[in-house]
Amino acid sequence: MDKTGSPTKGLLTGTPQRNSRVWFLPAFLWLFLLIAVPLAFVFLLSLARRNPAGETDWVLGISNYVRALDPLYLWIYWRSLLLALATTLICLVLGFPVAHFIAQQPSARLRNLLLFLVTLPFWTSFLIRTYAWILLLRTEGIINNALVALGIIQQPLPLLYNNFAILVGLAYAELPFMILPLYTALERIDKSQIEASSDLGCTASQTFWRVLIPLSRPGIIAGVVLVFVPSVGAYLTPDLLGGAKSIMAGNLIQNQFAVVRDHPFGAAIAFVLTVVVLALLAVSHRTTREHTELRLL
Amino acid sequence: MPPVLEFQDISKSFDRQSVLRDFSLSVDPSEFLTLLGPSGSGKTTLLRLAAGFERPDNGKVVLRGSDVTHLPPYHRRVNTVFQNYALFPHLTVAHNVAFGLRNLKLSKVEVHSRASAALDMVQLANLSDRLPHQLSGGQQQRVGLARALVMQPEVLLLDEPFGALDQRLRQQMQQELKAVQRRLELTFVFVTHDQEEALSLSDRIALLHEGRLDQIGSPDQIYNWPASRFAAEFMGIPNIFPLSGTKPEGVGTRCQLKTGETFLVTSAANGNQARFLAVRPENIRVSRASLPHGKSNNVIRGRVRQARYLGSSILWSVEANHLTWAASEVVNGGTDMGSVSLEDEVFLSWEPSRGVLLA
Repeated sequence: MDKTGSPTKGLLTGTPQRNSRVWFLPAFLWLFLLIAVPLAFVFLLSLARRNPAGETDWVLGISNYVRALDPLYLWIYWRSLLLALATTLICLVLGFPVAHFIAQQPSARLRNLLLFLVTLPFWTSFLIRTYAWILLLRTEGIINNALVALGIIQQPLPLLYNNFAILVGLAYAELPFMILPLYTALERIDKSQIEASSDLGCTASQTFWRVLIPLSRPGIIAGVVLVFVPSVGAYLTPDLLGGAKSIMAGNLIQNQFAVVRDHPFGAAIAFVLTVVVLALLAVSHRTTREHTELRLL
Repeated sequence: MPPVLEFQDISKSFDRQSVLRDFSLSVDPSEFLTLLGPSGSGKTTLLRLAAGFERPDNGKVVLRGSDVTHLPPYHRRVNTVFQNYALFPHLTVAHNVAFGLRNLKLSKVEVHSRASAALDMVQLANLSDRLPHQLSGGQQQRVGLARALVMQPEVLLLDEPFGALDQRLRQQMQQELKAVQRRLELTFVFVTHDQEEALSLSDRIALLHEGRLDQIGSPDQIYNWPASRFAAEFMGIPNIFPLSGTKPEGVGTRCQLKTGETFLVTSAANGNQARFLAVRPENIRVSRASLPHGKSNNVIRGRVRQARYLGSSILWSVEANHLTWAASEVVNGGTDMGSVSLEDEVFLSWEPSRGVLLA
C-alpha cells in the first residue's frame, strides 16, 4: 500500500500488487547480510582479546572498550569529527554556488557537460590525485615555489603533513559528493517560486535564506551525510597528507589491524566510531523538522 | 486622473525573436484591464516587464509617475498572481500569505491582522495551517491571490490565474475575483487568451497581436466593433468577407464584396479604408420568407447546408453565392429546432447598423 491507501503498482506491469512486500526481500537480505552481519561480527570481535602470540582469544570482555575510551584516543576521535565537520562545511560553502550555477544554466547540454566535469576526477585514481596534492603542497612544491618566485613570501609555507593538508585533500575528494545532491535538489526548484519571493519584496539574499535553502534542504542533508561520514573514517588522505601529529580515527584503526595486529582493539575503535556517527545522524535527523517561520504568527 | 501604470514604447526580443514592438499602453487607476491575445502575442511578457522579471530592450515602464524600468521586483509596488500558483511548499497557508509582510517592517499584530483579513477575503481562514500540497487547485490559487493582495500593491498582475481550473470552478473564481477587485478598488492587469473571460471581467480589454496593440476598448466595443480582421477572427466572428471597394452612401457606406454583392453599412468606423466586412451570426436573421433588399435591410439568398445545435441556439451554415454565412437563431428549448431546415432555400437579412467594416 502506498501513502494514499491504494495498492502499490507493480514496477513492470502497472497492475495492483497485493504481495508487494515480497519485493523488499532482496534489499532486506542485502542490508542484512552485507551490513548488519559484518557489523555484528565486528562487535563480537571487539569483545575478544589479543593474546601474546598475536592471535585472537575468544574470551569475551569489554577491556578493549575501556582502552578505546582512553583520553589519548578520545582526542583523536574528537579531531576526526572536527576535521570531518570542517570538510563538510568547506564542501557546502564551495559546492553550493557551483551546484546553483549549474542548475541555472538554461541549456541542458551545458548542464550535462558541467556535471560531467564535476565527476571527471573520478576517472583517475584517487591515490594518484592525492599524490598530486603532495606535489602541490610540499615545501619545494608547485605552490610554494610559485609564491616565493613571485616574491609574495620569503620562506615556503608549511602546507603539507598537517591538518590543513588533510582538509584540502578531504574537501577536494568529497566535493563532488556535495555538488551532485545539491544540484539535484536545486534543479527541482520551481523558478516561479523564486520569482514570487522577489515579487513579494525579498532581495536576493533574503530569497536565498528564506526560500532557496529551505527548498534545497533534502539536497543539503544528502550532501552533508555523503561528505561527513566518509570523512570521519578517512584513512588514505590523512595517511598520505597528514603528519604524525594529525592522525585520524581511520589511521588508528588501520594501524591496529595492519601493524600492531590487535584486531579486537581495532574492532572496538571501529565500533565506537560507528556508534558515534550513527548517533550524530540520528540527532540531526530529528532536529531537522519543518522549520517554518514560526516567530511571526 | 493620471494613469497608475504606463508602458512607453516598449520593445523586447528573446533570442532575436521580437516579442513586443514599440508597445505603449496606459492603465487607469482602479480599472480591471485585460491583456487579451493568442499565445505568443506578448501579453505575458508585458506582465513580466511590469513585475520586473524582465527588462525591456527599449522603452520605459512607469508606475505612478516614476520610472521603474530598471528597478528589481522587490522594489516595485506591484505584485503578481502566478499561473501555477508558485506557493512556497515548505510554508503553511498562513505563512505563505504573510511571507511578504515580513519585508514591510510591520508589528506582529499588524502582520497577523492583515494576513487574517486577506485569508477571510478569499474564504480560506479555516485552512490557514495547511500546507500547499494539501489544497486543491482552486484553494491554492486563492492563497496566491491573498498573498499578493495582502501587500496592497498599486497594481495587481494576474497571469492567466485560472488556466489550470475546470470550467465551473473557473467561472466561480472569476466572479469572486471581480468582487474582490470592485471592493478593494485595486487596479488589476489580467492576462488571458480566453475571450469569454476577458469579456466578463474587464473594464477595458487590450487586444494584442504579434507584439502590438491591435485594439483597446470596453468589452462591448471589442466584441461588437472589432477594428481589424485579426480582432474579428479572434473574437469569434465567422462571417468575414473581403471587399473589392467602398463608396459613401448617405450616412453610411455601401461596400461591395469581391464576389459582387453590395451591402449598406451604417456603423461608424473605417468607411474608406475598409478591406473586409464582418457580421455577427446573432445579428443575421434567417427565414424562408422572401425579404426586400434595400436601405433598411441587407438581404442575401442562400441554401442551408449545415446546422449546429448549441443548446440555446442553432448555428446555421448558409451557402450564398459561393460564400458561407453563419447565422444564429435563438431556440426556445424543448423541441424547438429552429424556423428552417437543412437544404431549405432561405433569406438572410441583417441591419446596416450591425455590419462592421474592418481595416
